[in-house]
Amino acid sequence: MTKWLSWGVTATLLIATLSGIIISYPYHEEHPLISTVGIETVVPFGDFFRALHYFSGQLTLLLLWMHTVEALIKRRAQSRPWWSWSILILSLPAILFILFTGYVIRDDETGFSAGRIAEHLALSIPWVGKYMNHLFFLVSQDGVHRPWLIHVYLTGLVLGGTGLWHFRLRLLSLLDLGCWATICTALSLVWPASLVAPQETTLVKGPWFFLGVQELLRYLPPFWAGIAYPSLPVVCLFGYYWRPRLATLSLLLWALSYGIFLLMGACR
Amino acid sequence: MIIKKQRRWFIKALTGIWLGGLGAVGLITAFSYLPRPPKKIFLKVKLVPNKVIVGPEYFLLLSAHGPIALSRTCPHLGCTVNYDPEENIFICPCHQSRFTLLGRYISGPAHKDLKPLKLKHTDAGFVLEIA
Amino acid sequence: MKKGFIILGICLLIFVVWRETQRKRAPHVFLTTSGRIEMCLACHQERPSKPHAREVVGCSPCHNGQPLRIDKSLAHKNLIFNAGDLHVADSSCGQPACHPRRPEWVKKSLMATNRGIIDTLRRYWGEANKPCPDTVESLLKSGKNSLALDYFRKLCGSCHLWFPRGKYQGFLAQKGGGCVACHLVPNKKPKGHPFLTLNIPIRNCARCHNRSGRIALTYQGLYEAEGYGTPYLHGDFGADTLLDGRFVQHIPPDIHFKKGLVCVDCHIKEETMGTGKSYVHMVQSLEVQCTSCHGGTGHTSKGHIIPGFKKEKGRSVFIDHHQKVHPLKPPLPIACRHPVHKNLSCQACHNRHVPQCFGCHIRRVANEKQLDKLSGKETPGAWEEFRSYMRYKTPTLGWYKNKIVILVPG
Repeated sequence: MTKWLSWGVTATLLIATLSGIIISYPYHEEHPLISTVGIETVVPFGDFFRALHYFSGQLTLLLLWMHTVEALIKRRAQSRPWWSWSILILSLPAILFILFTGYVIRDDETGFSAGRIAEHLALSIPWVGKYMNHLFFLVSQDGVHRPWLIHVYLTGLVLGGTGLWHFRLRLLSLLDLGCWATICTALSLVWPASLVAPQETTLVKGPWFFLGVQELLRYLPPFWAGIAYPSLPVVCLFGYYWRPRLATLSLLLWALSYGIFLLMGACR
Repeated sequence: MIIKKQRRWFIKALTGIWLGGLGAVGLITAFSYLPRPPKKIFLKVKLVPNKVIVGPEYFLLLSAHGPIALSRTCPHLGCTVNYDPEENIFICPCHQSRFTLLGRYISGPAHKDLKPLKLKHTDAGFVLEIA
Repeated sequence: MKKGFIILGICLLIFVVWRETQRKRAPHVFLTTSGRIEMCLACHQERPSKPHAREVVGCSPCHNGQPLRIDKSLAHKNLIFNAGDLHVADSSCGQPACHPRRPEWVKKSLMATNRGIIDTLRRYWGEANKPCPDTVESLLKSGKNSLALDYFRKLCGSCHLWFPRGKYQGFLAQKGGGCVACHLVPNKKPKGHPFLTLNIPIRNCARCHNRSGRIALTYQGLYEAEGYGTPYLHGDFGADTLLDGRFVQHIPPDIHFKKGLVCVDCHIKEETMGTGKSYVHMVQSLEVQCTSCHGGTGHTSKGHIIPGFKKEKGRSVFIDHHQKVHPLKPPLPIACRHPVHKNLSCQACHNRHVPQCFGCHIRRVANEKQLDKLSGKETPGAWEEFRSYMRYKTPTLGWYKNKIVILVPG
């Protein structure tokens, strides 16, 4: 197992959490966009820490994705009990969800629309949709309050869970953390964290990883495009433990199709 | 001995019910929310045919049957619908659903009309109720 | 390798701290009265006129940019200097919450299309025998050219709304610019934000309407004299000069000018900016008549309301853009209503003199280059105007649509 990858995920997640704690002080969930802009323009070093938070978060997702692919290639599933594999797999949708709520709680053009869409997607789930929405979103009634709570709580859960997993083996070395901090800082100095002003346009694009779903939502009913289709790979990853070949084939097909939808959405 | 074991099992189960029940009751609190009072907006505007007044949550315009107000929330997935003066229709920026100026659905994934809002025409101006 | 990263990290931290000391942070988040975030106001102190007040509109609705940033390089991304430019007006002035559809209509108006000029030129020069569809916009896009169009591009190409304001020097600098060609009044303070107005001053109209019929000059009592600057007084030219260097002499102005009326008091918005219809010639878009107010009901020939016309205590008055009230005289019962004069247009009697340039000619110098004002490039062939004489005389009368009208050759 390439160690740098697994430690990279941990390090970037830790950096994202720490920088998140820093910018959570000037952030107000009561007026999310105003305080986000305040962090960006008024608070000293605010834009820097926001960018650091943004890029370390994006990097966590990318590294975790690579980490998962690597685990699949190296057939790591078979060497551990099924429940341990399932819990590890859960970290992928959890990180994705944390990243997504991160967009929602900044409440700019992208975040506002993303929140509204997520709420309606949750509601499209039969039977439990209403409760899911109440637990995770409810942005139309309660603003970004609930996504904000989920953003914070879920990070704690994931960090605790994966931290326990990794730190059981060895503590994250300070040197590794330093190196990843340098990479995240360099990224945040090259590009600013995205922030889109509300405007009267006829096209709004969601977070980059959501563009494929956004494209599909134009053609299919919300439940199929926004819930069933994006949960397929997670199901495949769970199933990988028992039927590795079928799961791998399905995952590849899904990744190919999502790649196409993502490109279509990005080119709009 | 057996009685002691049974009692232990019983106490465990009771603790489970107690803590689980506490959690479940807690979930009910988490699920619920405090509904916001309905928002009323007072507008002092002059309506002209073919001109759409674009508010943050509403469109206000003069139709053949008098003034109407429409919600800007897309019936598809809740994005804020925008007015496109070039085509003189409403377009949702997220998934390109289109609506006529009367809020009637034209095309796209929405398949429903824009919701009309309660509108009262008083002597002083319009009173709009946003649910 | 890892140590290198740590040292690089320390260097980056020093850079971040240094960058922060160089930066001017905003004191707070700036909001407009509607609650929209407008961080441009943290640096920009400009104050445009009342309807576009900084606290209400802010900057970004007109000038685009990124209103959520204060870092200049980020904040000024996609910035538009002239928001009234017709290339961008649909999303600036014409945005849904402000003046929707207006730019779309203006683009179809003759001041933007110049269809009248292009059609007349092409037909008289034998290049077409039915109304031409060519407009300034289509020429800008297609780059189409011909002898008549070359003449248009070089000599007429600056008198339309698509003309880029401020791109050229001299008298061209103030011309064009889309909406602001008419609606802008410069700020006297250096670097102050110009004012946007509905009270369009005559000089804005006169920047273009000073050739051919020279209506904006004659209205103000200016007569374009022959190019000698005579009479010489105190060792200098006695005549006044226009911005483009032509000499003018003073003659009695139009009565409406004397009373303080400006062009847009009579020429209402439906006529100037259009109603979305595309016309070929100015006569088709003109709708204000003398009798709309004088003896009329304040409606144009197409039924539009003239806002200045009011009924006060049973008599008709005209309230101009400065809120000054003028009594309106109905046409004289004998002179105007008499059956023998029924075919006369008002101008046939009331326009005693018009500028006449029968002696005006043009020639093309093939081996010289001249600026094509549509493409912005110097191309071969220069058009030169010259004239033997120019007179201010009793107009020629002619028969047009069952009326005796005046004919003004340009």
